[in-house]
Amino acid sequence: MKNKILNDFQKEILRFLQKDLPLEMSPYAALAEKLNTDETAIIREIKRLKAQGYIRRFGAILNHRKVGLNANCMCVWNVPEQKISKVAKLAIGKNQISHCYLRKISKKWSYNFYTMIHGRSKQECFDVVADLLAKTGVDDYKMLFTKKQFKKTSPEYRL
Amino acid sequence: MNPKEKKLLKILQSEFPVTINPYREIARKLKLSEDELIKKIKSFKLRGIIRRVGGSVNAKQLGFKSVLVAVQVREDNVTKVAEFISDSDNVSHNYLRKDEYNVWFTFSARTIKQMNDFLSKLKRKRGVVDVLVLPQKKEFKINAEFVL
Repeated sequence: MKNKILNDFQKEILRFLQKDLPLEMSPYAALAEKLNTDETAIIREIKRLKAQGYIRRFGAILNHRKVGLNANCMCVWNVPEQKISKVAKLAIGKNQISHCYLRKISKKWSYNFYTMIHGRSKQECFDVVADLLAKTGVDDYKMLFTKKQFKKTSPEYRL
Repeated sequence: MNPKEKKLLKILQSEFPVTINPYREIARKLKLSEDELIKKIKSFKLRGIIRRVGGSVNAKQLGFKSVLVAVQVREDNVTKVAEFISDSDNVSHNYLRKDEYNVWFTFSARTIKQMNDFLSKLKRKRGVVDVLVLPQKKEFKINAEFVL
């Protein structure tokens, strides 16, 4: 993992990209002027930051609720060590699963594997889970549907 | 949403060009004028379909530590506790879920100390019964792109 110290130019670009890109013909023009450079240099740096993994993705971020994905569920699983890679492989392949993590367990919480499922209906979420269950035999799981969204923002990391 | 709009959203979320004039390039692809395209994107934003256009950074690589936190909160106190959590700039997601642990949020900060300070304040809030801190061990997929 690269964890080099970024220079001020790179930090300015990352700060800028965490906000909403101006909806203009030349969205980088103002930034270039502010940073005393030209747009080509900015584009070149964005590409570099992308290639180095500092920028994970770049594009429109949609509100899943507004595109018809109304049933949102965090399904947590207790997956035995030897089955983790198999379950992960299957979970990654599912369109409805946006995020998939392994997390530490605690005394009161034995679920180590997390899948965030977004479906057009609750049934679609149930189907995703049923399929994983059938293919992996992991039957210790819990589906935690979202009852309310208190906060959902694009995290803005201060650099 | 009609097929044309779907196609536009797909390009915007998955194939956004990194060029000086990205909207010109997209407009050309879709055989729209740049003005028409900008109008369409504006409307997506107004309707709340597009949250924003921009980059998502790799927080870990930038030195941020993130955890998922589960809180067991007494029913009567949920609103207040959730408000306290959402007020923090370090919290990006905060949900009410159907479980004994009913409030779930993500917390990121530069230092463990910031996290611990926040969590000890949270534990003292009225109605908070228990707090689970669930750090990530491995990430298999992070993909906020949706299949339309």
